[in-house]
Amino acid sequence: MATVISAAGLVKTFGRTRALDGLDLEVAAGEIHGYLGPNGAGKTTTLRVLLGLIRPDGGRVRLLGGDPWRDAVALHRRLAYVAGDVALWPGLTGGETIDLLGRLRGGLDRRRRDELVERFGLDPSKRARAYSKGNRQKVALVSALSSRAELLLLDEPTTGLDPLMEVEFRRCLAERAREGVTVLLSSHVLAEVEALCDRVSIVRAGRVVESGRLADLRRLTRTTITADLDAPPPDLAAEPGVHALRADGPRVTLQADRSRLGPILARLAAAGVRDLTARPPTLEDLFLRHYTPPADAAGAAAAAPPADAAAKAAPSADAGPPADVGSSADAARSAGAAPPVGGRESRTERS
Amino acid sequence: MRGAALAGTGALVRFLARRDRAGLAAWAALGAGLPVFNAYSLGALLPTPEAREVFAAGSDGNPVVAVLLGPISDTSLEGVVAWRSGLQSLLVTGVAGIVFTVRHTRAEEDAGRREAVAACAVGRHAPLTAVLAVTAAVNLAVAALTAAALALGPGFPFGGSLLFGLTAAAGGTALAAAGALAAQLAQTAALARTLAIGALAASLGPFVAGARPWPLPAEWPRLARPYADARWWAPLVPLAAAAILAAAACAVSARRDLGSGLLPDRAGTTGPAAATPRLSGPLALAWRTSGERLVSWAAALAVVGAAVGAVSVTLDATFAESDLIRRLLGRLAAQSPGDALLAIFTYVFCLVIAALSVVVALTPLAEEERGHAGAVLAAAVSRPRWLAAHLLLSLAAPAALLAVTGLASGLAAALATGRAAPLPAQLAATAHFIPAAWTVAAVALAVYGLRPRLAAPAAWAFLAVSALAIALWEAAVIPRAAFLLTPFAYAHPTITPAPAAPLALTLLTALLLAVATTSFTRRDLLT
Repeated sequence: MATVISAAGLVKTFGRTRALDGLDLEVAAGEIHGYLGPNGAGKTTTLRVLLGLIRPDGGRVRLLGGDPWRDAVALHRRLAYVAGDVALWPGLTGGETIDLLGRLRGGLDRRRRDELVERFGLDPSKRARAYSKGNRQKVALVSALSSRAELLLLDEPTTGLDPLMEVEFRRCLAERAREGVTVLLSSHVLAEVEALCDRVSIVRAGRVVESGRLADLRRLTRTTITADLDAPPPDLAAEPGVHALRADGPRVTLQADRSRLGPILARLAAAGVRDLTARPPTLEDLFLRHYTPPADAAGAAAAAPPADAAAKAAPSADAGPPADVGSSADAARSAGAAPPVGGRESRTERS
Repeated sequence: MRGAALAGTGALVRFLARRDRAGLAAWAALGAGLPVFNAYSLGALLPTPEAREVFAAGSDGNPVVAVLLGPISDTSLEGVVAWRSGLQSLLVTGVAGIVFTVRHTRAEEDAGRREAVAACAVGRHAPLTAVLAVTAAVNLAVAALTAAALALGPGFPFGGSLLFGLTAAAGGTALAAAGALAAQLAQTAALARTLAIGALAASLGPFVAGARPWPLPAEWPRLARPYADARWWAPLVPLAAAAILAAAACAVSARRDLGSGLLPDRAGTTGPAAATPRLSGPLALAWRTSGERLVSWAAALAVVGAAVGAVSVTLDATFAESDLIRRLLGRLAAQSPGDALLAIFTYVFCLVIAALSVVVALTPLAEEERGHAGAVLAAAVSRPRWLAAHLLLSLAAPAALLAVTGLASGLAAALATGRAAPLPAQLAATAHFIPAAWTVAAVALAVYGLRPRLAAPAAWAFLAVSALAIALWEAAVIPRAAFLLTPFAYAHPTITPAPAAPLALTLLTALLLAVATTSFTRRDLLT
């Protein structure tokens, strides 16, 4: 499959802040690629580099076969962008803004524009200054989705949308994807990414620390098992493949390596299972794993810091895999080698 | 209840003083600096009582000065300085106060920040009270600094100097309170500023008609007579105005919803549901977002220009014998006293238009900071094309404004005098200034391309230094050769125009715009 976005070793510094620190990113044609990371991880900076609005200090980047900085205008005819912080001209109406941005991109699909205005329930005759945040977001979305672009760059596009509109957005995006449009979807709405994306890249402190198909990433991580037992088995913690064990009377919660699922279930069955749930790792598990510092994982931290603060506070104390992740195979390998704790579980442990 | 309405005022006062500390310092320095500057320059210019008598007679014969400042009643040096500085100090403190109050009331509301503050434990009247308290405090500092500087520097009596300063401070506070009221009435910050400044300009109306009503701002500085019979009650007049206006502002503020005003928003909240075919490029967009502003400036300049042009006839008859005009006639290559005064006024208009050119030239910076430039450049628009739209407006705006001013003043003067000559003369005079206005705009744009964060301070500093050079040269502080290096020098009415100067400034403009384009194309976008 052709590569639409390819970045290698991207570096961008703002003063003393290293916003991008050797970032690698590959997006294939026709896929919806989830781009995940907390605030300040470098998602928006990446998109601005891809748009040629800022120039990287180092690294290599190609977009739709061109150079984002040099070929900006030619490339922008083939893509549409929705900014995270949508800036509209206060005196222009929503309809005027949609049309203007469409024309500046080189044309928009008139019929689709009207249809999207209808579907998103947007009043296009209001001036931008009178719009709520969600409505401003709709203006930008309608404009981008009604373009004839082959690539959509979306920076947290659903912030401020109500749940109904979010469902509508997912539907529209799926339609575009069926038409063969490539999408880079930066987001921290994990459910949205889980529902829409073929592949995801997780960015942390300016580097992609995990990249691959969601299914592959899941396979190489652990299943969370909760069981109500007649009598908790002794030294279950010593069983190979058992992690983050927590026993609360007759109830045990643990994470099991997939390769050891059989023997572990056998041990549980021997203890008399009254009830059992097994849950594959959610995207949230995958995501949080990369943002939980070792101290937190060990349960020694006094308070759980927010994920992004933790990432900033301990950039070298890496809870996740090494960051030189080029391919999804590499990512998968390092995911398997990751320390055996999920952030959410470690938090419940302390409470 | 009263306490609750003012809760948080102290914290807001500290916040305002912190946020605008540089601007507040400049306001205090300029307010106190101008009278001191006048004391030294008038002291050098008019050292003897005889010279001041002649000057007073001449000023009485100058209609513009007579309208704005009134006759000189006290011909001591202190008296002349107070006469000359009174209105200046009032305007400095007043305009700064209007800008400051609107900036921290309606502009904050426009930006949505007022809502965040109101959601805190902050009383309904606290924001307005805090702004007016800071304004009054800065103006009091101006009064104290003025008194100290005049007493310690040129050795003026301290009591009179303090009275002079207090009068200016009270007047400035009253104008700021008018700004606060305008901010409560208008629904946008821009409209509030226009309203307050417009009301101030309109209050000059009776003075033009020959009356000097004491309740109006232009007469306030004349009430005190600080170095003659020192009427200490004089500051109470503007103070009473300040109290009434502030109370009215508070009353409106307490009764209205957040985000609303008594005057409707001109544009309304709805408009066309689709864009017209014309709205399809950066130039159309730039015109759409700032064209209305340019048209209103042009209309205002046309009206004021025509009024000044028409007044020049009466000057021919009334002031032909005036000493000042005769002296000016010697320096100016003008045919009649009216032509001479019109030339001086036209030059002042040109300087105002130069300032407006800076405002237009800084529009791309504002567009970039608001993220609008990013939105356009993320579409298929090249950087040179986007910037070119703004370069074009920056060049066209001063040219158009100068042409309108020249046409309106020249036409009015021609109609009033029955001579055709003023029309081509005025058109030529304003056209002559175009390269100078372009230069200040181009400086702003070049700095914007290179270092966008420095563009606004650099552009305004360049304009201020260029304008200050005029005053310094007129006061014989700097030599003519140095003055001629500044962009406004060659268009000065007493300097014989040399064609090389506008040509050189046009070339400089082209060079600066090339710098702006290449540097803007190469740098990162701010937001």
